[in-house]
Amino acid sequence: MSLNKVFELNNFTYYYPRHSKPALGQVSMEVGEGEFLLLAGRSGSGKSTLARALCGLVPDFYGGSVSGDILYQGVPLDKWTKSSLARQIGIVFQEPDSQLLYRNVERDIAFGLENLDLPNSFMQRRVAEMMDFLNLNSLRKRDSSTLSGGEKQKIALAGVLAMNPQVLILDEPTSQLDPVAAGEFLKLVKDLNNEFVITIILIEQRLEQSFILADRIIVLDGGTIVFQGESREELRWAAQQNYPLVPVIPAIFTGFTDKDLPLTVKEGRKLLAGFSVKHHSQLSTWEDEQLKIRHLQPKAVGKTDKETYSGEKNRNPSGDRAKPLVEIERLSFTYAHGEPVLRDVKLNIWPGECVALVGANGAGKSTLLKVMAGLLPAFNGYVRVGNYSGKELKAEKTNCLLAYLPQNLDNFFLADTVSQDIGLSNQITASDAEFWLEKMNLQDFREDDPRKLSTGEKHRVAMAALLAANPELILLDEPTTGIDGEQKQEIGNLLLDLCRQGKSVLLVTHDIDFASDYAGRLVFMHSGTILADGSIQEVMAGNTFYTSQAARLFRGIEPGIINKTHARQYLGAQFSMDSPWGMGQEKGLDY
Amino acid sequence: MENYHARSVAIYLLVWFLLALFYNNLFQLTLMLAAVILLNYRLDRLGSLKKITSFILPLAGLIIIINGLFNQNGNILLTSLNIFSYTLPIYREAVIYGGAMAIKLIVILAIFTAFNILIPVERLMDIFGPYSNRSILVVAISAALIPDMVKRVHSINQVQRCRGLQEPGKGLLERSRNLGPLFLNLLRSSLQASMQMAEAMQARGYGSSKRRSIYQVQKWQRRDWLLLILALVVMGLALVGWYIGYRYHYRPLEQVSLPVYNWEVMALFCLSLPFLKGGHIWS
Repeated sequence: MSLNKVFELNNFTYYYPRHSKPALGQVSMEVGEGEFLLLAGRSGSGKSTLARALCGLVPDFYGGSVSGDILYQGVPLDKWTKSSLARQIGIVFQEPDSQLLYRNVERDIAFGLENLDLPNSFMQRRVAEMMDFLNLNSLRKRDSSTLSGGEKQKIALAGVLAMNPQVLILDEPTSQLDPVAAGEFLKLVKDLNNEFVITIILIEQRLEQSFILADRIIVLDGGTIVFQGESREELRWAAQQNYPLVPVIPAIFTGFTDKDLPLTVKEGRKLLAGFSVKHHSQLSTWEDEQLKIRHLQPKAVGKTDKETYSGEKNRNPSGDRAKPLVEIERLSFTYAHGEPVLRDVKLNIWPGECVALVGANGAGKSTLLKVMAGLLPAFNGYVRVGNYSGKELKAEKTNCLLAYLPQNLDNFFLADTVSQDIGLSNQITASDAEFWLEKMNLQDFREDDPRKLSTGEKHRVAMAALLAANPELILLDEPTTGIDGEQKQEIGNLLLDLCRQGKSVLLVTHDIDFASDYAGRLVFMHSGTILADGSIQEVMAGNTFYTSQAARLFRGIEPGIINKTHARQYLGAQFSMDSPWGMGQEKGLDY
Repeated sequence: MENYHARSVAIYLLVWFLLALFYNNLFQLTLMLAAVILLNYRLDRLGSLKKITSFILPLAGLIIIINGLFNQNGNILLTSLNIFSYTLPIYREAVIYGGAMAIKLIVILAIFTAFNILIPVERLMDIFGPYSNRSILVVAISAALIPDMVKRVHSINQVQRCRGLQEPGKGLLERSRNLGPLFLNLLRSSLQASMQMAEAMQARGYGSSKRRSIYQVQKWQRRDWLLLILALVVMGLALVGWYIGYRYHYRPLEQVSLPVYNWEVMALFCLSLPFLKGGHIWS
């Protein structure tokens, strides 16, 4: 490595207190000055533990035992004073709420500087600089509890940057942000890396942007490093190992080219151009895309008409024109002393539908879910869920009909063990609880405390507890936050399975690629209003940001393609038609 | 009150708190309740207090019922309950005492909501000045967690209702019994949140040096002296009143009437003055 070493880890091993299995085992790595490093891996692979070890919180805050060394600038980490470490190595955590101690935004940014006992005039200058740099002046006197997730994460970043760190560690900082806010945040981080040569160590599950930004990637699995190298090397390694850590765009092309896999939509388009794919440049307007979607031949994406274009046909797989399971008309809702959160919402959901609800943080998505779950009875308008409407729509009554999975699972669990928690409700029989325990692969965690499981495992337990009651409507608020690609696939397949059984799913998500893989219908909300509602192809064709990577790649080429599976089937179909693209057939890798 | 120094406001509210503990007279406590409700209204139009109403009102009701049923210190019989051939007398003194204790609880909680609005964590840290140690860390995290816990109660309640686990119940006793698992869950998740907060504070250098500086140094001004003197005088008057023998007795039950010339009532009136004038009478 040509750069000066900032970190050097030699066979670093760490055990959490009362754990016999190491969280990190024999980790050896180096990080260069000014490097942008991406730490990737499955949920529970040890990424967050490694991040905490690099800033000294492990083992200092958590306890436990360590062996091996971590050298920071050539000096063992435990030889540095706490104030020097805090000054030089900053960390931004996943959960924005737990990082903001103060209500006053300006004071919160200054918190770290106060702890370093810096002179008042210096702090004032540094905070002012930070607020100007991050464009936070409008939030200066705001109460931090009233900020959006993206704003809170920016304040947390400002607080860390105010301390002028040499190294910035970010532990899934965008997991709770909408796609636009997440993109902005990561761009800002890259600017810090470029302009101020701050060493960045980023942990992310959203691989699309972070793969492009990173100079180097380290993949952890079971607490050990299984790969270190550049982005394109990782793609080749993952292809060889069939390892599920490839962003959507390269995953689409895996097996179809001998050249380097593309990382961006732009590179993907270049590759497609090289494949001599015809561009329908004359069909680039939104109206034309819509027209084309309506006339698209379904075989192009390898699905039947009914499967591909949900619309009316997919709304009721049985073919019967029964009334919708959920009917919402002219719904508006305002929290006490607040602005209206929902305005004139109209939404119907039919049995067997999987509907994705997308929009920016604060658009009213979660509130809509809560109204449907009977948690916010003081709404105006007409809402019917099953046979419950008006004053009858209360959670105590609707819980036999619907399941509601909140975004934050900290408050979800009541029992001491996983098996007890799944069977806690009187509506759930012991055999149903056992069935879902096994179906969600939770046998090994049967006697574990559900609160101590990883994010993905918690989601599985919560889903099992809800689905064991056999609900007709499943409302999910951000079910993919903080979980890896494999776990997303498991959840997605489960949702499809439920829809096949005639159950309805409404999914609030920022993960547009996940929505494109599993939802048949897309609803786009903005400022409490539904601006678009239709088949996922139709809505994605009209969106710029709230659209999948695959849809961006094939925009103007084949607008019906909205996910990786469609794209690969399309490319596969082209190859099988003896295309001049070169490879002849795809290798059948499945990510 | 935001214009006052955090220390003077803290002492002022401490006097309120001590008086709430000190008074037992139903009328005095009711007067005090009116004053703290007024204070909360001026601060956030009762927003914070309303959030905990669903929790404190059942608890207050429970206090009255338990006192009425099990407190047998009384002379004036109100009624008798026949339970399984056992006669349970209900005394007037016990019911009134239970009512006073319930009001006392609401007053204390209302003082805490006011404290939480007037002294957010940043101002609380200012009270301790340039010192940083583990005790202050605990105080700061506790203060930050109070509003968080209120939100958390709401969230837990919602989730458990959706899971069919948190039936509100029909009677007061059933409702109170159902609160048990909720509290346990609240305690667990709040402890977890406090650990996350402590970790974030350590990551940002809290406790890394013995002294810490203050970003916005507030000056102790004349109005702070006046507020401090007022608080101390009121506390002194209450102590003198107690010393010369003015104490309220439930048994034998004294008449619950307006003690017009009572020093404590005057003290309460004085205490509410800054709020009645919007906190600017001396500024």
